Amino acid sequence: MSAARPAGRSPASAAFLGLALALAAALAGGRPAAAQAPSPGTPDTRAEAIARELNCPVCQGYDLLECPLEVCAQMRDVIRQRLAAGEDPEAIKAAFVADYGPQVLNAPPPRGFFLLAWLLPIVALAIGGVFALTFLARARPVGPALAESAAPSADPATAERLEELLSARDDR
Amino acid sequence: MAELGYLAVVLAFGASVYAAVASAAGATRASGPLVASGRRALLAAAALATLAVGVLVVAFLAHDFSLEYVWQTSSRTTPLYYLLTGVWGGQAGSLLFWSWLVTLFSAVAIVSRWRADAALLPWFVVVTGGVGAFFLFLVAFVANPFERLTVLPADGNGLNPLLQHPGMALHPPALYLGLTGMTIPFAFGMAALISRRTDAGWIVASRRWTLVAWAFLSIGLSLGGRWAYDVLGWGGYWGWDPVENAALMPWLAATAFLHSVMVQERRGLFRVWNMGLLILTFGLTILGTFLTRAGLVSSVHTFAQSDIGPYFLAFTTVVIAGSLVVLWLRLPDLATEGRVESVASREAAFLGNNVLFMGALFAVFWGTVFPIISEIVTDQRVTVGPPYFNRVVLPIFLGLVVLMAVGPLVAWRRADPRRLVWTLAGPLVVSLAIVATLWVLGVRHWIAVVGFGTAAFALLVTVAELARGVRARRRRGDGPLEAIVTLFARDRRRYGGYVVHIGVLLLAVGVVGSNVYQQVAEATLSEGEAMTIGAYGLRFAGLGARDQPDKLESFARIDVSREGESLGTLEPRRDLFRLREDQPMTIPAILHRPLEDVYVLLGAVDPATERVTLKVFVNPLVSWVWLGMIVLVCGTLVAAWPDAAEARVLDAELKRLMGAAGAPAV
Amino acid sequence: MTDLSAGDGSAPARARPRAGGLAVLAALGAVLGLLVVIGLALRRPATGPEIGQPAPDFSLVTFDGEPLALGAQRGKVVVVNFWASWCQPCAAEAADLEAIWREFEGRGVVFVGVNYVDTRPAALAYLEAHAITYPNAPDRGDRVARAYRLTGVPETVVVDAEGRVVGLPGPDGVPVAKVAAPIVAGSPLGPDELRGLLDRLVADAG
Repeated sequence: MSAARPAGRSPASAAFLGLALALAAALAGGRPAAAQAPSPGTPDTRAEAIARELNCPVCQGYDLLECPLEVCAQMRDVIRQRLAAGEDPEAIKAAFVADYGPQVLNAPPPRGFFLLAWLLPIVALAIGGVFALTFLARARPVGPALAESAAPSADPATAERLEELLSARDDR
Repeated sequence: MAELGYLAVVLAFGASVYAAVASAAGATRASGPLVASGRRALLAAAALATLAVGVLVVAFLAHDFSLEYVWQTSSRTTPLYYLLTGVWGGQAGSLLFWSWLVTLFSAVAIVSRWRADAALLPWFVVVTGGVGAFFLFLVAFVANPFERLTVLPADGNGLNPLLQHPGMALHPPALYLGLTGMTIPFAFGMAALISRRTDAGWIVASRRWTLVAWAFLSIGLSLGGRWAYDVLGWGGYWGWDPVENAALMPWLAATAFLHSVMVQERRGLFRVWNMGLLILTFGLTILGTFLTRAGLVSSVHTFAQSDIGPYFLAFTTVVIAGSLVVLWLRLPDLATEGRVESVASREAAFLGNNVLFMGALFAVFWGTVFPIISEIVTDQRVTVGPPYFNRVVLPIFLGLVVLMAVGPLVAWRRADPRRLVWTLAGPLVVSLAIVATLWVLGVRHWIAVVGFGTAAFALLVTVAELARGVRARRRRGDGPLEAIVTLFARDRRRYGGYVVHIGVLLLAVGVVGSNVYQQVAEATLSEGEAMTIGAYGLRFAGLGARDQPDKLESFARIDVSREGESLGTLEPRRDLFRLREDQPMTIPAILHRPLEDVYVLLGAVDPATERVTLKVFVNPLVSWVWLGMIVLVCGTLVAAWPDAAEARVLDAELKRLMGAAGAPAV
Repeated sequence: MTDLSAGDGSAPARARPRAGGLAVLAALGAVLGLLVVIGLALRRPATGPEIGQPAPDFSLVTFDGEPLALGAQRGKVVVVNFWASWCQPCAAEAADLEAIWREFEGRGVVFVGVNYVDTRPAALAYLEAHAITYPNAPDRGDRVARAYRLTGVPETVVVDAEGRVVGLPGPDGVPVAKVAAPIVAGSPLGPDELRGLLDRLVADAG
């Protein structure tokens, strides 16, 4: 290892910050996508996909596909019939909302007041990220690195053992 | 007999109040006798609460149906195992159980650390006495399990059929052990703040408690998931139900706390943050149990609504607001002693870890309370279900998995980024190869690719770290098995932590697989007919029934085969409990295989034609979820095991080597 | 987070760190705000039908397409019954309800069936199977069920000629605003009790 160099403002640190931002971008990219495998085609799978997005109105906590109640089976039939009649999924869901209220949807529709449900977590995470990055931006080194200063002339085996012991002590 | 139990509760309440008051007075006036008296009072409260619980257990075992609570939650035909479950199966009993655990844990903590933390303990007693007093107050005056009925019924109402499952018998106690366990670190923290002893002493005192409470929370959460999977019959194990979330939130906060507190121990940083996080964790345990009991957000398991809501509201306000005020007043004592020196450091990694955990926590919290807020603001009830939580929370967990790979490799203070990238390069290449192999085998959904790839990456890094440690020991002459054992013995915290991470990663793999590739099929069959799902064939081989003392089981015999080879017979059933005929239970039959589960539900049976409707799920990788949890718990056991002797041995060796290398003592 | 401005090597000042203090105050504000919201939510269940108070009004459209409003029934006694085709106890009480309706039809009594969370074909089949002739309407958007704080089906509310909720016999002898049990023999409010109650209400109105 070469002699200690100021790490605070080096390109390597910038690379690390870049990693953090890439991580954030990866997380942001994950949000809008659907959680289920989109499969086109057969009415049954399309009906299943719609049923997954609807909530059993009677027994909170089950979606329309997994709900074992008879009334949910009837509702699944209604979905299949409407699909067969050529209605598109959004219209079917809107009809269900008109019949049973907005609580029949499995997640708040991203409209109006309900948009807050989706936005606030992103905002919260962003605020947290900003705080953390501001805090880290003030990072400044104090003195030389630990292991290097401890035993700069040690042979490799001892150096590795020293490193092990020092980090074990760190972790305790 | 029940009067004895009630008397014990009232006396325990009085003792807790006295303990809190006497300790506070004794601490402010530096009066040894008052403090000692307060301590004895808390021990007495614990003993009295134990007596009360004992009386209740006996009442259940003796089928004393003159007690309304016993009548509500058991019957003569309830098996022994579930009689005990009944003790905590309802509102009043679970409150008594909670009070008992709080006072008991405080007693144990006091007895084990009285000498070591003499300065902290008076205020510790004030806090735990206060918390215990509140719950005992509820039991004594609002929800009393010892209340008598005016007439003696011949038989009880029976335990709720939903609760009659081994997982369900253990799930509330495990959760309660975890939730009440968090009272102890909180009390130590508050004691440290009030008594102005904010060095790391309170953390050391409470660290094992935090870890063990966290482990019980993890166990409780996974048992709840297993119960949902085995009993609720919807093919999954986690529904983002408000009550599940109420237990998850303290777990998230506690995990963040476990990590960031290491930064305080090692570098003296984040002291205000850690205290705030501890208050948040405890506040969430109280808020969680409050949300569950007050029936605010209706869910799969809602306790009967009672009048305890306003009391809980008041208590939660006092506790959280009060703690924050104390924190505010003592902020000058929490000035930091060091600084973060580089973005490339473990401190920064833990900071990132905390940001992500707080983000996940807020998302879960917001999704849980949003229906209430929506109803107040727009007068429209809205459902916040799995699609919301999966989309918002899972990406954050993905970020945490990445950190699990990077964090353990980053050195404290200042890490060499080049060395870090070099160490990560190998596992990265291998995990890309794994992803490519999976792609060739047909695993192409982007969530599975990203999820499996990242989990594989983190798993490889963690296992490589373990291997490096073993290799270093072997070079010093240990045999292979000895090397592993000594490695874990000498550095339990670090390597136990790695095992915990491995458990979490296995769980993550299971979650990805079971969510992305679940298959569903529904069919109506006559006897002898078969249906297919994936590579499995299921043949309906006939109906049957079994008479149990407490229920009638009607089942269907389903022969399962895969590619021609018979895998056995499953018997999905519908249970009708004689005392609860309005609540028939659909119990799935599950074939557990290493790579996937075949999960069969018996739907409607047409009595005229004797045709059955079957709903079948194939759930891939679910076993990995349970395996991951078991590994996680094992890792926690290792990490929590005391190892003071090892520290001395290591320090001696350190000194010796430093002397030999000619370096100044560190 | 603590304030790092003491970076020049001097001992950290013992003053309250600014950033930490602000964060704690913000947290306090957030917590109190949340608890206020929860407090408001807890107070909500207080509404719903109350004995002696005006029954929550509703206007629905029957299965035949006719308007059906509670307010329009002022001057008559109204029996509001919540049901669903998938509900077994509802089927148990259906025959009695229809019979009582036919007895009281011209005497200033109206029966109204509100269909809770159901599908149209199944609901119509139920009505036909039980030969129900009084008006029935689906509770679109779940509004009426929420206004009446429905906890399940069947539930029945009786409204007098002035539009006020009538006290009904409850399980412990305590009068309730709505019965949550089917109107069958053996229930606190059984068919005969309902007949007697309607007789009294019609006499008071007339």
